[in-house]
Amino acid sequence: MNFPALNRKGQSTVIDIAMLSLIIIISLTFLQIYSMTHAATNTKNLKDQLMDEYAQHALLSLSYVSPTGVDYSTIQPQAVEDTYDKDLGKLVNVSLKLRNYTSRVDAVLQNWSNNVTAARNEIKNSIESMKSNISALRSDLQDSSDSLVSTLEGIDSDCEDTAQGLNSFGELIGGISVTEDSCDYITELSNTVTQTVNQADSELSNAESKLDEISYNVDSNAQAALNALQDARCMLREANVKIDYFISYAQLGVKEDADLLSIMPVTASIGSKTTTEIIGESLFIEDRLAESSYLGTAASAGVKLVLEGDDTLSDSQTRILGGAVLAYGRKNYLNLAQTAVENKFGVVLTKQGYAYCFVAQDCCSTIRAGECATIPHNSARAIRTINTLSNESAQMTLDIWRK
Amino acid sequence: MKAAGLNNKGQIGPMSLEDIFPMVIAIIILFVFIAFIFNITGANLAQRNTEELHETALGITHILVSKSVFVYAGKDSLLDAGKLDDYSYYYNQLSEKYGVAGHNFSISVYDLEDTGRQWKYEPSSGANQNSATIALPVAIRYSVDSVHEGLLETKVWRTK
Repeated sequence: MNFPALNRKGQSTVIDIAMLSLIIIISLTFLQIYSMTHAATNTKNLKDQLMDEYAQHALLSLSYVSPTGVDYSTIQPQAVEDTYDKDLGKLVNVSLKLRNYTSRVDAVLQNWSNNVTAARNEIKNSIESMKSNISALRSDLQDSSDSLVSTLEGIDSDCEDTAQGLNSFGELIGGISVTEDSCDYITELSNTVTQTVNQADSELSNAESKLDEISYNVDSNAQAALNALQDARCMLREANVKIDYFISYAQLGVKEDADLLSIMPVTASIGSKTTTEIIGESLFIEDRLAESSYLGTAASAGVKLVLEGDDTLSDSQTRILGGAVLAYGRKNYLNLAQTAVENKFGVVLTKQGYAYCFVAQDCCSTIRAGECATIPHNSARAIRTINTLSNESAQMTLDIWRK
Repeated sequence: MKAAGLNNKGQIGPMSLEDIFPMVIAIIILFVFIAFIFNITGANLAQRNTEELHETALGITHILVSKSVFVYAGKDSLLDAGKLDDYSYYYNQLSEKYGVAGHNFSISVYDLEDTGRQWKYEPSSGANQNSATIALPVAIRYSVDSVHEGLLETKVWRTK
């Protein structure tokens, strides 16, 4: 017996194949998507870690870097001439007192700043408390007023009937007269109460606005005071640098208008200018100190000689160079960091396809480098606080992100 | 009763012409499936391979900028120029101390301030094509008052 129809049983049809294909394609697509997502996440994590490492190490390295690479090994200090002016001795004493005084003033100003901040917070808290009291008072007043007015209205509506009744009763017992004027008086009284309460509410509302105004003024005045105190502290610090420098100069025993050339004649050549010229233009006393464009170079010479512990340097010379270093460090350290980022690490970063923003800030100034207007939220950020050569605290922040 | 024809029911068995088309489709799908699997696995392996090389390079760089023989006074990222000079001829020592099994590495230190100045430590065999490079900023200390900006570059590749 033959069963041709049974030959097809249990075997696949075109529909079976199509369904199988569909299942396989969906599975493959899912696998591919999962695999790509997983790989992309891993790569992103690794890149983020690298950016973070780069930012951290860039700032760490910057905190070590010396002010300049100029070599001053050829500078040799010579003996100091004995030209000490006795009047300068008095000036030194005054300056020392002044230096002591400015340090104390700085501490006082800091204290004031703290007090202003505390007072501002206290006043604002008091005002908030008063405002909430006024709100409660207004609410109570309104409730009492509503209650009184509704009572008066109730009396007013029955007044005429009551008046007539009382009149009849008065006629009976004689001598008592209640007129409708009494009802008008009740209406008038009700209106007066409403008006007075509204007026009181308006006064309280004004008081609230006034408190808001006072709060705002306290805030802005306190901020203005804090800014002024901060400015004063910055000026004091600038003054300290100059006083230090002057003390060094005066104690060395040279005239006020003398320059370092009289103490340290040098002949080394740097670029188109000799070291003599550079230092000569740099280390004049007082105001010209801050204006010189060669200050950093001269200070670098100072750093080198001071740090090498040159035996030929007297204490006074060490101090004078220290003064220059102080001035340099205070004024130029942040600029140095900015230049280092822009010309060194910044270039490397840009070549690797990264963008960056560098911000350095001390008490009195802020400098920026890179694309600081557009820092994305997912940037890698490193923050480092350093001490400049003048022992000022400065904060450096470096953001790095992929372009 | 003998029903010899039923022995082959449900088996691939003798095919008629209409069986050939689904069979071909099935074989094509099988090949596509295998190709996809190979593709995914291959791409994953290559990706993982690259990531693993970068992680190794980062690990070695970490050690080099922190507690390695190059660092001055134990300060992270501050490399001593003198020590960099000293180890110029001792790559094998570096490799023994900081190497990772199955990997080889080379180190380059660039002085960004003095562009001509650099130190290189590399094996004689040289890197193969499949390598990963990590660069981190460092400071290079020449003397107490001379510290330059620098860059430490580590390249890692597999030995086998």
